[in-house]
Amino acid sequence: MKLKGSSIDRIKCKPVITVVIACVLSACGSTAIKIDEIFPPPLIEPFALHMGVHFSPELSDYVHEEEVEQNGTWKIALGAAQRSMFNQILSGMFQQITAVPALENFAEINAALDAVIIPEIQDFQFSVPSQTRTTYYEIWIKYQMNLYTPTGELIAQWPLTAYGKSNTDNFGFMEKIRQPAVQQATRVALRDAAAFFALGFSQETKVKDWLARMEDG
Amino acid sequence: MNIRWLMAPTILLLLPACVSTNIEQIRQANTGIAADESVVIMGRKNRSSISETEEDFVTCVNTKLANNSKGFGVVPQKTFTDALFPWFEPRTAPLNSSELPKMLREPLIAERLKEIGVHYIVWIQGSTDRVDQAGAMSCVATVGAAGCFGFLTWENDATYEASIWDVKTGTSAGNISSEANGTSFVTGVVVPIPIIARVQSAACTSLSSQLSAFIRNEA
Repeated sequence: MKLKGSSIDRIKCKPVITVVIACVLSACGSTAIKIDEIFPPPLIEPFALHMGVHFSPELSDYVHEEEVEQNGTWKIALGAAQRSMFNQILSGMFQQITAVPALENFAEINAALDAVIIPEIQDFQFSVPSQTRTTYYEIWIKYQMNLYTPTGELIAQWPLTAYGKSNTDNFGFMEKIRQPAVQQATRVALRDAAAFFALGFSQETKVKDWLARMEDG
Repeated sequence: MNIRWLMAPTILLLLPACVSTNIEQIRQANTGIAADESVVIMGRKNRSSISETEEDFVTCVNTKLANNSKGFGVVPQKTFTDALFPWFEPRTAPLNSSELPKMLREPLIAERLKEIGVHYIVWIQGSTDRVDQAGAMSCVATVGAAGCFGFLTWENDATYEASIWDVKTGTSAGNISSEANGTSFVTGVVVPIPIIARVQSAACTSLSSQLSAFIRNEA
């Protein structure tokens, strides 16, 4: 009876051992990071505007892939989190927002809108602790924000930079650090982008002028 | 008998090494807090700073202050930053109390702070660092036997400063600094026996109890 029990235990252990080995191997080979985050609504007075927002496939499906020396390949899927961040922040910044799925027939589609915002991701960089000789994972993101009239004329174009870091010291000694640390640094960077966009939008000179014109009617 | 042998190192593990703590306080204004009001403990996370306050230290102060609050509430940092997003993010948060009145003039911010009942914002800056270490230890394992031999020692220094801002008056109420240092040892005679100086924990305990007294305006 005892022997039978032991053999059953061994059989049950096999898939577990396989998964453990696979996990260890994957940590050495490549790390895939997916960012799931619910961003808080901004605490600001919304502009009395109907804003359109267009997310290009480059932004929606953005994946950063990089091979870091002695750290394997990193794959950071940022697309969905970026969309979620921009949707949440724009919903709080404007009285109404409408998704503009395509840019063809720009004027026809956007007739009811006051303007259309098109965020573009221009650069994504990250560093791991072994590169900077610190205990931090760091993320830098550079966006270009584009504001168009409903007829497709450019109103303003400005850069939006974001930075996030996470300290490996904040994770337990036995915890698997790589994935959660990069996830946290990316979440901080996206939150930073959202915060800076929300507070800096009306400070951009050309946007400021446009807002003044819109107010004058 | 076997249990006794196992208990000996366990008891030694629980024996902490000595930690010396020093607390200093500067009061700039009278304080006081009502039972329906609360405090938020925030760790500084400036973009430019190379080091930032450890999250577990902020959590420790938060928990100990909540346990020792004698009535007032302690709002978790995440709840506070989410409720006031985007005003208290690393790049947008006020860096000193002189920026607070301008922020409080924003009706939405003032209203939200009133809603969540935050009377004091406590900013914590600092870290725990290893300042010295010496000794060596080597461990050997063979089939049927294993053991460690040697002696290790290291000194940790925890330096933290809490700045207390009064949200109602928009001014700084004062500062409390907490310094703790202690030396930890590991002696290895077959079994390694660590005697750890819980420096960060000592700094957390002294800072949180001083904070509680400061906020309640006790001597």
